[in-house]
Amino acid sequence: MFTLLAKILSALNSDAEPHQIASAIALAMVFGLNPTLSLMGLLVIVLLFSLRVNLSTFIALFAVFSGVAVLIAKPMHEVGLLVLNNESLQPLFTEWFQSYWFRVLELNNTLVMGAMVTSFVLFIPVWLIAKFLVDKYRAAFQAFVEKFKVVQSLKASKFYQVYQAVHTQ
Amino acid sequence: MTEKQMNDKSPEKSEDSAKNNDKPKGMLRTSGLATLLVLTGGTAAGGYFFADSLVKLAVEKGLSNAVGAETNLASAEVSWHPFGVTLNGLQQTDPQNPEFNLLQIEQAVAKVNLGELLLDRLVIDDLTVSKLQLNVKREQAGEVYSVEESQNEEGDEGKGQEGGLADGFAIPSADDLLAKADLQTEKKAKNLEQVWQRENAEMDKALRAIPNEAELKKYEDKWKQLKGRKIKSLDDIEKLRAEIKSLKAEVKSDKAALKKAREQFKSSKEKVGVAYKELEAAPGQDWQSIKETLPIDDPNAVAISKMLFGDEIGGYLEQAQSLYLKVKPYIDANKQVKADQKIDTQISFRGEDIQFPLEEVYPDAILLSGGASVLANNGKTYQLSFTELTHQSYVRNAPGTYVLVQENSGSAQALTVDGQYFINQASAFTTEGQWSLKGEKLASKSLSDSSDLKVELTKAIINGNGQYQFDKLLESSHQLKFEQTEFTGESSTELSDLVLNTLKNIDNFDLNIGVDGDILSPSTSVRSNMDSRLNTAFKDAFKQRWKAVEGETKDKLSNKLQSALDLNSGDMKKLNDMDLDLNNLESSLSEYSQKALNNLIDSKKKQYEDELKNKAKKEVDKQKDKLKDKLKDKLKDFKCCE
Repeated sequence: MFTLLAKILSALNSDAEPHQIASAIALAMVFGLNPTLSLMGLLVIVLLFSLRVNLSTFIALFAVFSGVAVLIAKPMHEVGLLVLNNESLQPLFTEWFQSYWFRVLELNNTLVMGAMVTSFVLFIPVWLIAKFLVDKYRAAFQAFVEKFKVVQSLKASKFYQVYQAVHTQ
Repeated sequence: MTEKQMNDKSPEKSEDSAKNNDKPKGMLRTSGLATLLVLTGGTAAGGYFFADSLVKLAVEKGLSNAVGAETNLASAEVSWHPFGVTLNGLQQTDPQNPEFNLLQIEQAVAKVNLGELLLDRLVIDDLTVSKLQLNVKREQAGEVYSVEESQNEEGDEGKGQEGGLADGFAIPSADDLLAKADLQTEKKAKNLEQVWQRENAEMDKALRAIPNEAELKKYEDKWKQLKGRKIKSLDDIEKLRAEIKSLKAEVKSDKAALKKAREQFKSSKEKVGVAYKELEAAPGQDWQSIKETLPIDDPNAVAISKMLFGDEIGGYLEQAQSLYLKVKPYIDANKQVKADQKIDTQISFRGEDIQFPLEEVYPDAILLSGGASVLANNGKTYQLSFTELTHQSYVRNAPGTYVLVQENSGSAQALTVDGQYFINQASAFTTEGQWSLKGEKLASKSLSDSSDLKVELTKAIINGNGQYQFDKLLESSHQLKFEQTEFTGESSTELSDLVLNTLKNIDNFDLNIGVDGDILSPSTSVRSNMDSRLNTAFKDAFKQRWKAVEGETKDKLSNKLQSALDLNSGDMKKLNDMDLDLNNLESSLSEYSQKALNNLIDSKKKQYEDELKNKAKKEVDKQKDKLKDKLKDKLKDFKCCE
């Protein structure tokens, strides 16, 4: 847990661009909510290899979003049910269902479809919010936080030593 | 890592980091992209180049694990467009007979639907199997990993043959008939014996309670003594009365015991009588039962064709049943898998699969079309073609079809089997089809090899057709016509001579076979016009022989009855003797009836009274005489008229 927090703080305090950290958070959200071997999961893996995003943040938050996925499985199933049972989309889905990619990726499954739609819809807001928070943190909050006695005492703690070790790696 | 070490390393790292940060960075991570391409390409290339070996390994491992014996595959090739697999030189060892191959295939080419394979469904668009051979000897024995438990094949002795006629043409002897019949005579004789033993014990118990001869003698002595008793006083009468009262009580008790014994006797006699009558009637019932189970009354009912061809048909049925029993575990396993899958989906939440209408639906495994050339052990080649072979016919709502053709050298079709089957959602199997056979030359075939008759059908040309249907129960009828027949053989009895000579004069006959009922225990009926010909020929001889058997059997049954009756005749005499004894005893005791005993007291009393009266009278007379004498003495000196 210390290491996880340390990695997040390390990324926030590092020289990594805020959009890289925001992308990592948004991609971790997508990867965490969707099954690993789903369309979105594979897409995220390709993007991780191809784009410059902060991997530490991604790994740390993937675990968090995986936990969240379990908690919101039912609502995501409801979303999937709503989408797949949508009358106007029936011809489209029927046509897609004839092709193997749709069935191999299990897009006719309510949970898979729900997770995909949810993560797709949340991607931009999460990215924007993450970027906004990272910017805010770096501009004001970082210096402000460091003035706290509690932070200073924290810096003297074992946790800070771990953080330092991670940060300098 | 200590704090010091961390502090030591930090400045250097910070510098490196600073240098790196100075470099302009684009959005794309080129090194990562390259790694991804290398990984993907490597995997694809590996799959492409090692696919043949992987398929060979998978087939060998999969089959040997499934069958439990060594599988050999010479080579395997994977084609990518369209996706398919070719297996060359496949040999599957028979786990129950490792010297032989369960099946052997020269080449099998399968075109597999890759998309469906990714969906965990094995859809083979086309399968071509060349030179499929069953039960071929291996060059060297194959390795067996696990021996399947041998099926308990019940020995169906006499199956498909009407009782007593299994041994060729030997008419069952009286001993055979008696041995096979569930004889009532023996049972009833045993019953009589048991009834007698039980009732005898009851009678003995009752008889022990009644007075024996010694006790009767005591009664007699006592009676004589009482009758001869002199009564001298009233006390003697009272004493006599007391003794008679005691005797009366004893007699009463013995009479009650006698009554009980008589009732017991009556009941025992009745029960023994019933058992005895049953025993007497048993031989007649036995003979009736033997006649019902055997076609004794009507020799026409004896199907000679069934005797001749019964074993042959039984053999085919056994083969079919053995195949069914081999397939049955897989059908049952399929049901189990379906049940397990249902449970799985109920337990874990993984969303819901919405099904949209599909233009082409496929079951878990299916052979859409295909063919195989089967090389039989008799050297003949059969062409098998099929469509829609699956264990889930209900998915496509299309029956599986199969056509088996065997061609003669002249290209005319000798044998065709054309059928279809369907397996519904409940895994219930139904099938129907028909077959025809034209101009098949029969190789020499032994029809009977009994001690008294050996018959061989040395030559025949067979034409035939038939149809079958299975829906829970089997219904099938098959007609065969044998032409240009030649029979040879040996016979050693009068009857078998007759059979053989009649057969030798037959140059054609037909055979109508019906196999119906439960697939594991079907009833077979075999009828032929040969029967009527043969039956007409030796009906009389047969009847005469049956008469002899009938007489002999009846004699033996009578003997059994007689011996049973002899066994019990001593007991019956004892029962009658008991009756006599009881009668004697009853008459003896009647002597000591209440009335007789009362009369004795009365007579004794009267006797005593008479005695007293006589005595009194005598005393009065005596006193009278005395007075008379006294008076005479006093009056002797008195003279009246002097």
